[in-house]
Amino acid sequence: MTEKQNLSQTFAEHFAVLEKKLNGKSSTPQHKARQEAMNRFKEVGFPSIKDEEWKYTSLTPLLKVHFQPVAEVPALAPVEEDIAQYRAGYPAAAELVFLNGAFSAELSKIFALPDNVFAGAMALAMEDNHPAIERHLGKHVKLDDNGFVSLNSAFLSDGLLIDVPDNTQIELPIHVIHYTSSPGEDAVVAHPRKLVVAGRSASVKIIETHAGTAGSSYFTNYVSETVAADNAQVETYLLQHHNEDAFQITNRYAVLGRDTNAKFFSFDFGGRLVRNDFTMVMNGEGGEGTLNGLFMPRGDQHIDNHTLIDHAKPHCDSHELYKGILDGESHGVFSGKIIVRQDAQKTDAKQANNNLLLSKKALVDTKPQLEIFADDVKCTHGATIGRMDELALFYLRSRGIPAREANNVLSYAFASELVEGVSVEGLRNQLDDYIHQRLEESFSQEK
Amino acid sequence: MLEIKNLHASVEGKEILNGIDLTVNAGEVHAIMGPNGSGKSTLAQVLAGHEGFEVTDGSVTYEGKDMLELSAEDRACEGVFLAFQYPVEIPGVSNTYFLRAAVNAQRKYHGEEEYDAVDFLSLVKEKMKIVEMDEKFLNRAVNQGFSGGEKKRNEIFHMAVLNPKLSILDETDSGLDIDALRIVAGGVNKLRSKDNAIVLVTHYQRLLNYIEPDFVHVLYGGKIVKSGGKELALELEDQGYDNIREASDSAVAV
Repeated sequence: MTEKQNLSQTFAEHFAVLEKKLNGKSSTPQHKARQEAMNRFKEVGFPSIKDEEWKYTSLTPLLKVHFQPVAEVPALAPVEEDIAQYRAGYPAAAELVFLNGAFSAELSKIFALPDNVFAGAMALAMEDNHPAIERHLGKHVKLDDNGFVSLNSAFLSDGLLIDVPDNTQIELPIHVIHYTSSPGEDAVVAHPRKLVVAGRSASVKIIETHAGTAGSSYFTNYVSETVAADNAQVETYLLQHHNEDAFQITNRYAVLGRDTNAKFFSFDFGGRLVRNDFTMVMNGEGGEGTLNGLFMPRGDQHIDNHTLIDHAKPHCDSHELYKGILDGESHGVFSGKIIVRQDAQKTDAKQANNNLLLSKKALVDTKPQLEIFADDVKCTHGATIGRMDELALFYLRSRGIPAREANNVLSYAFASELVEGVSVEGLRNQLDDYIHQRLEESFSQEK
Repeated sequence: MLEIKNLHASVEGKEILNGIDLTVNAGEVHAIMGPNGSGKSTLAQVLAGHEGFEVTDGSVTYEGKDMLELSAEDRACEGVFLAFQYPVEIPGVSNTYFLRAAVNAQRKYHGEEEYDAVDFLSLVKEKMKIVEMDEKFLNRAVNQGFSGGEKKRNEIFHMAVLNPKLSILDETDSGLDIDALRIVAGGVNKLRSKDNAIVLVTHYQRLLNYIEPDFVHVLYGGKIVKSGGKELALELEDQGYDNIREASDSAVAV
């Protein structure tokens, strides 16, 4: 049996374990959906580098890991000391903590949320037949895209639901911590899930921190759906701080309505093998969507960003900027596809991917793609890969700034555009410090 | 202050400086003139510590220290300043941030307390007056989107803030209109003192009408082929570099 079949088999067994524990709930519609997802997973399986969309990312390291069944992972004790370092530390409307995908009431705190907003456990919302679940959960992701989406859906039992009704504004950000706890010998696989529904003219900012047990190998298979109705304002920030032995696969989908303004930022620092797929659909006239990402792999980390911006309706603007700062023997991937449908006249789509290589052995593959079916559109795209600008370095040093600091200043400057776009001041300052610290670590090593 | 002896330097195996001798004392202004390709900018960059140039022979003593042993940043901290011929654009780094990092690096080098943002701002605002710079340039990214004249003015502004002992101005006058030249030269004159020295590398005599040098040197073929007072500049302006070329080329032939 190949490693791939092996791991698929493992997950099928995990599913069987889960089913046994359902205790009479196996005929619920939710479980029917899970069964369907599991069947799809068995058909679709894991992608291989023979698939065009996966040619730069080999799953071999993941397939070799032995995972223990989700359902057999002992109930997790609240681990405040593990979580503490990831807490926001700046004013937030709520801080919601999820352990291996399940909501932790003990670790979560609500500070200032309007009464009509639901922000919390998806399991609870399912039990209460919350309308957002019925209308949107699993309705936007595509089970067939890759095995990971169907796998997540097969194990879906809890997750994060944020439902912001029409005309409701939440000023402070909601901070979410997705923590994968993997304390034992065998690696844990978690399938966290998120659904955000922003109603008409609603506004919400969400900051998600992804992290896990230090020093252990684990796999976080994340799926997120965001539905932003007409005229809604949504900002989402994903900060990925996994340890450098961890695996993270994310599949995120966002659908924007008429005049909706949505911004999605990703800051990827950790992980051994990270693959992010993001699909943003401009589904109403006059929408504006921003997809920004900073990824900073080092050592032998591998971070792959695949994005698809689908302009389905006219008069929409999309802005996409991904920047990579790569050190060590790391490998970065950017693949950005923009589709402009025949209907989507007056589209204005801008895409850029810029990469800075800090070491001779770092590698980046970048692949911008445009598919345009409308005839009155503005689309620009560009990709660059470069090393530190020696002349700029000399300029700084000739004014007295030591080489190490000069390298740090210039690399930070490369990333700063993305940090400046962050509207939450506390987060911006945190990112500022963290990126400087990461760069300091890079430049304190002799190359 | 600065003593250059028999300085040879090359880039990628090609010799550009071919035995420079030059002594600069505190309080003096030296102008180094010469045709294109004579090695003027190379001399400036070698003195500032550009690692792209290899010093193959000779010595440079600055304030009693072997300057060639010092890194670019240590030279700056010891009071050497180079105003770039082509100031570098640094997107994402504001002018103030850059300057504060530079000033604090130099203060740290001397074991002095670093400036906080507030104290630094008042220092900077004082110095901006020297080159009549608008405050909007403080928060803009270093040289990004600056006009040619603004970039050169910004270099002199940096010089004013860093307060160097030895300033090397590499073609700071090139490409400036007369108003900009007057402001830049005025700035340099305000910074001139009996304790510091200035080396003006220039292509045109025009600058010397605004900044009066004590000595003028002509660089040709990587060597100083003629030195004199400020009248030498006028002579060059009248006669061009042809006489110099002929004289030194025939000397080489002999």
